[in-house]
Amino acid sequence: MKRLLPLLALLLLLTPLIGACGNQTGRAGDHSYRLAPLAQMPPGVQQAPSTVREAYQFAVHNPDVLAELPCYCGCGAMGHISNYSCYVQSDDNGDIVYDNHALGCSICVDITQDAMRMLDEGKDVAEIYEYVDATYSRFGPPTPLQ
Amino acid sequence: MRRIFPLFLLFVVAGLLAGCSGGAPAIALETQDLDLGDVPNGTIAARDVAVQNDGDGMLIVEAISTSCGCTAATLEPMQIAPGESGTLHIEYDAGAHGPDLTGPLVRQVFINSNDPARPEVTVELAVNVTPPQAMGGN
Repeated sequence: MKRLLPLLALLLLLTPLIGACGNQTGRAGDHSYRLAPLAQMPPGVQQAPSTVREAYQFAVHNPDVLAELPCYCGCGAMGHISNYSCYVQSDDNGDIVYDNHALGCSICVDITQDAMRMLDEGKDVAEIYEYVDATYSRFGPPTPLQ
Repeated sequence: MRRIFPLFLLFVVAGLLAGCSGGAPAIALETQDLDLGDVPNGTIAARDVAVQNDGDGMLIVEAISTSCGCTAATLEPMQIAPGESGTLHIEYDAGAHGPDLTGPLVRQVFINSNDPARPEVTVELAVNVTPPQAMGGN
């Protein structure tokens, strides 16, 4: 038994470390989508609540999804064209200019979180669009999506 | 065993006293639906909503957040004794999304408290943003 104790202690020590290393690769646990690494995000994003951080990570890694979903917070008047615009102003081959709008907009983040949840449920973008439109259109005008 | 028994008794009594020391708080809002009416873009609309504690325990508001950076809310005080009330001050900035935004919008204020029955309550603001007012000339 005494021989096993160091092994058990080592196992207990290594398990969380291995788990933490897994998160560094951008995997989102058992989700059906991937997240961009947080380390490349602006400090304001890194210090934001977890739902906001994840939404930014999702946006950067999944622009094709969020570009198909409108935002209803009224940001169309600021030149935003989709929910993606709330996170990213421009992406020039990976040279990303972030938009801090979503840091203070729970409507924007809620739309993204719903998209993430529905992707996990196996829904496609058209189904997500339908849900988002039904749920959020009462908050304001949709962005134009073009 | 004889030494442990008084300690055990102490814990039981302390637990009972803690349970009897106060009832549950119950948050009650003057209204959960605010109609701000027409608000010209570029102006700020402000409203106060009374927040009352209708319960028997101290109401502790843990967080206040809003659905939009354009909406700010503060509560004074953040701890409300039974039977007492506080004031939720809400401000909506109609110019926060730029000068081109007009039309009907809905914004929300979320209040998280220790009310066991309603840990989060929402105040919903309806507003119709109108075009910016022309500056008065001479």
